[in-house]
Amino acid sequence: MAKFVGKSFKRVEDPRFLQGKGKYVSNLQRPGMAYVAIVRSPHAHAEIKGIDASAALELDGVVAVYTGQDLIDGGVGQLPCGWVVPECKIPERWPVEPARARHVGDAVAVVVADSPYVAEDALELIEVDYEPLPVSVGARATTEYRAQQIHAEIPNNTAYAWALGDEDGMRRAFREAAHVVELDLVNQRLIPNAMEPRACMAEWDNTTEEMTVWTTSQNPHPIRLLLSGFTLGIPENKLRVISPDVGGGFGSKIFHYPEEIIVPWVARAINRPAKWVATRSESFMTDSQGRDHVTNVRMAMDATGTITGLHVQTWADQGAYLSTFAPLIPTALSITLFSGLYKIPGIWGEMKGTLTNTVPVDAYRGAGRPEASYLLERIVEKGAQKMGMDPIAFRRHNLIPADEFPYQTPVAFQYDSGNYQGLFDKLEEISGYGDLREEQKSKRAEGKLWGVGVAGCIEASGPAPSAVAGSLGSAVGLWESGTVRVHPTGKVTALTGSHAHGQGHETTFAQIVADELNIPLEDIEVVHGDTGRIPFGMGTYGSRSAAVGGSALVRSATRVREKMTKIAAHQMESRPEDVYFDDETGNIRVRGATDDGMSFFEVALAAYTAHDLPPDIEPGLEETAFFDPSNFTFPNSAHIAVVSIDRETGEVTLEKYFGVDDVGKVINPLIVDGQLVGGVAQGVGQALWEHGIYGEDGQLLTGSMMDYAMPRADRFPHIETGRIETPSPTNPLGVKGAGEMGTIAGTVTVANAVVDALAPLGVDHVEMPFTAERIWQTIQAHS
Amino acid sequence: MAEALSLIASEDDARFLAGGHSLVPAMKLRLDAPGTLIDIGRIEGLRGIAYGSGDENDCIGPLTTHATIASSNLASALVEAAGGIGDPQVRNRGTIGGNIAHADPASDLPTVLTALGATIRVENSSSARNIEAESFFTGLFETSLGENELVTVIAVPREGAGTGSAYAKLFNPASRYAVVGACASVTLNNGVVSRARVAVGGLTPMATRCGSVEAALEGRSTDAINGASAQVASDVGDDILEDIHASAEYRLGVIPVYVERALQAACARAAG
Amino acid sequence: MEITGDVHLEYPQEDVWHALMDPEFVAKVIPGCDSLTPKDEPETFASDLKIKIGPIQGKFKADVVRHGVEPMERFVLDVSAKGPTGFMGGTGRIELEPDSEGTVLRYACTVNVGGRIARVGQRLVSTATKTVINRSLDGFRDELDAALRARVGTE
Repeated sequence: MAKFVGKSFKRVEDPRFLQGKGKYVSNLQRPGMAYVAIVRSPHAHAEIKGIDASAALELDGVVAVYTGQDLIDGGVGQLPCGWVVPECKIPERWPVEPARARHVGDAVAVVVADSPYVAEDALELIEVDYEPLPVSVGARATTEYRAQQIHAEIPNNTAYAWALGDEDGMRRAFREAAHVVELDLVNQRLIPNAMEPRACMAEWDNTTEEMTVWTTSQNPHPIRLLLSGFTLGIPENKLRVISPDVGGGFGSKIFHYPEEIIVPWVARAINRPAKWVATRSESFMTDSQGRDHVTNVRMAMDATGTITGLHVQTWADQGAYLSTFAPLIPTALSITLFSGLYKIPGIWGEMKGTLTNTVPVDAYRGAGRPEASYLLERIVEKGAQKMGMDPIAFRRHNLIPADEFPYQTPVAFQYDSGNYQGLFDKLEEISGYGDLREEQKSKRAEGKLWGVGVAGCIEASGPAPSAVAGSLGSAVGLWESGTVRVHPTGKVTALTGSHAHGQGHETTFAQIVADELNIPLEDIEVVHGDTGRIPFGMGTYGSRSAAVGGSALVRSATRVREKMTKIAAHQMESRPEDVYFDDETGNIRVRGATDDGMSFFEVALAAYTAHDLPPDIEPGLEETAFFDPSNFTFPNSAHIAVVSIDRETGEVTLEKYFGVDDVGKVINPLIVDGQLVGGVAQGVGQALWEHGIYGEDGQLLTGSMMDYAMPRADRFPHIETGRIETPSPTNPLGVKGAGEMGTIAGTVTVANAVVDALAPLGVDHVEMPFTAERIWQTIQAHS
Repeated sequence: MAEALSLIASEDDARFLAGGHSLVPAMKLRLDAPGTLIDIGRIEGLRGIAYGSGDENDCIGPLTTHATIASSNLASALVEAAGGIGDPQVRNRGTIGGNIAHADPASDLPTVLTALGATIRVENSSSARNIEAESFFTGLFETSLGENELVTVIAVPREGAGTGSAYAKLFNPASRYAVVGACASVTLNNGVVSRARVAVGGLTPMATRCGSVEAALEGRSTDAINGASAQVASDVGDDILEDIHASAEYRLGVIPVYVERALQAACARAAG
Repeated sequence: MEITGDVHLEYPQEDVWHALMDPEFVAKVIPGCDSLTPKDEPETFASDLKIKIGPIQGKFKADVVRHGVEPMERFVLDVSAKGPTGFMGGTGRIELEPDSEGTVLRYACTVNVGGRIARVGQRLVSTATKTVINRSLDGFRDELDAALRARVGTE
């Protein structure tokens, strides 16, 4: 039956992308289009005392200039926060700020012109009278007594405080501990850089009063919901949101952004199509950023090295406003993972979400889980050091045994399935772990700094179920829709509410449907990203698409198959239970019969001609399912990185990398490997190079590719992947998320390797990123 | 070329456009807005390498791309440095002439040309002159190129038997510009360094010749490299660049290492 | 970022002081500064600055405020400039002290930049500022030299 699921197929979407045939928002043109450019604050914090647009309005080709107040008077609403933890204070946030700019890049005015070049020229002619205000930066420093208030209604720049776990259990564990280890950690600010910058285009139909918005979003339906219900006020049935090909998101294109409101508002105001395309500079200072946690973590152990307690206090910098899902990331997606792969009875996690004069922070690939894995696997590493145990032996000593699943952690989650000892078995096998340690001994004997880093990570993917999400603060459900439409000719359109922007859904989802319906892959077209064509769906984030979106398609395809079985049985004068889909011929046949049965096309056509259907069967052949999973899935991994350090210069070289992952059942191994390898590269990027740096004055100092160091292929060794499969019981495919595991594991694995390399010097922690200078300074300080 | 040289003198606020890998990014960021761009990209006479014979210099046209130099038979330090600039796209478009006229303090080629003792020929509509690389670079983004002058030839000495050169750098992981870079060119005579030329860049406002290092090495065996490299501190002066990627302290701390690595590699090449 | 330094000038403290207090004189020695024009507010000057450092060129409108003046000894200049590519702000503290052969001028400057120039030019700000200061001091010495020679000539 499974002709497609479980096998590698090259991605059907790639020829389009590789030949430059992708359709991106910035390629799209409408007749008579106007272009929008945005005046952005050069100050991190300033009062806007006046805006003089007269010189800009005199420039030939300028259509209009709007201020924040113009948009408010024109009916726009505030940007809402879609995940609200208890007692969360949500700051005011307007699409264009009318009175005060709170980070460099905050929108303060809008220019509309006949060409994008004139629009850019006009930006420089708009005189904004700023009164600079004191600035507050630093996740923890911003909460201090003397810090500048950023929003009058939010004291101490603290938007929320949230805690989870077993405080008494934690305290008991530390009271009774034989050993305690502690670390202060910084999980630095990252700046997402999708290949395609954000863009938005809108067209208003003055006669039907319908608005179409094209936007680079990972989730067009929620954007339509927010535009309609909160920010733009156009009825949802008059509003169509299209996210065509999108060139990467990594989380940064989940959120509702000001430009998605500004552009359609302008299109309606001037009754012309309008478009805005971000420059890379704008991406750096307006796309929601990632991480930026300051943490103190302590771990308690008994005399044998069994972990008994964990206490974490984190200050999470949320930037100047709460972006769409910002409060979710440090709370329900981070503290809930503090148990890792281990049995830890007493866990207590405390989180403060703080505000600073910086670009807002929200989900970025991994989203909360890399932060959890980083602090946990760093303190576990320190625990192993303290106990004088091999890092793998120490972890094995504390793993949740395979026969204890489902496993209830003290931090809300119940893990679905896993075989964590098996992960490490496989990891030791593919890495030749024993030999690596021998090699390390001989390198160290030669005076070389050579480290082997180990990490074991857990992920919660496919956020669910909706009722639980609601109780944790979500304003939306977390189910997914899938429609399978068989056309009269037997060709199939599969509509999914998930969105692909690099994940290869057009291939994997076709594999799922092809297996259910016993038809060739090329007969299936997967459609996503258009609220005018597909039922409401939730989009793509949190490694949810296969588990939730794929499962919805399985359900709808199964219903189609059942209906076809009934129709075929009726037409072949047989009983449904005797009818089967024949793998060999592709036909629908009657068991034991000698004839060829009916082709897929014949049954499909019969459903539409409706000349001879069973009495209880309606014409047509299309089914829609909404799948709301009973739980998250819990992918898990064990990785090893080997690094060498140049003692004289501090340069770190990643020498080897091995990753073993359990992502449940695998639909397309080629795509899963691609996701894992790409994810590892992104994770390693944080460890070695990436850092979004703000000055004390709130200026972004890494505002271009000249200074923000992305990972590059030539700095990586071959990344060797291995797999074990423990199917998830929470979805019909048995899959777990695969999109973020590499990123979650990659960062801390390399961090542990660097610390291991420096351990002979007496180093037990270094902050990321491990730049040559930072490592050199560390070596200087320890020699 | 004559047309280009007359245009630069007559047009208002005109600038030559070669590979466009320094000027165009600045224009895209609206940090620069020349009145007129003079595209010299199709002047074939300014492109390509003419290898000298015997003691003659190798002559490089200013429009020669980094990629061409990286796969050439020019002095090995130049080949090495050109191959480490930016990424393949940059190397395929960026040119040596544009690079040195721009004189970015973190650029590799000024350091290499200074160490190799290159001569840069510049011309305007009425005259031509030759400038030693060492005096061509005069400051932060500053050269001795006159207002309407164009770089027309970069002449680099050929490396005969017994001579070798090498470039070693620590690059900025984002831009791949040099945080510090060192270039050495040496001639070995029976195991003795009879001639050494060393220059560093990335940490100084312009490529800087290292006379103290050279003096400490010349007439000695290669065993003197380590000690000579440490002399670099007295060559680079007080004005040490620093930014978010590297402090002045770090740059000063590691520059001897890169000088030593360049010297070791250059000596190995000279030997054989 | 703070940049400090000192320079020895072979002229009496009084001459140096008067030159420093003369906006026309000062405008002449600052690269890219056309003039320092007194504004209505006391001790406040307006200037158009044209800055060119390699790839970064820009025009800025600047306000300069002089305060903390202790004649012959010290004063402070606050500069705030803005232009299409961003803004710059700075404070320069200048002190004079006589020595056996003339005057020692000590300076301590803090500089902050914002907008595009901060975002893409961070690696150059420190060095470029030092370059501008050094050029200004060289220019100051030359102008002072010329002015005082001229005075000697006329006397």
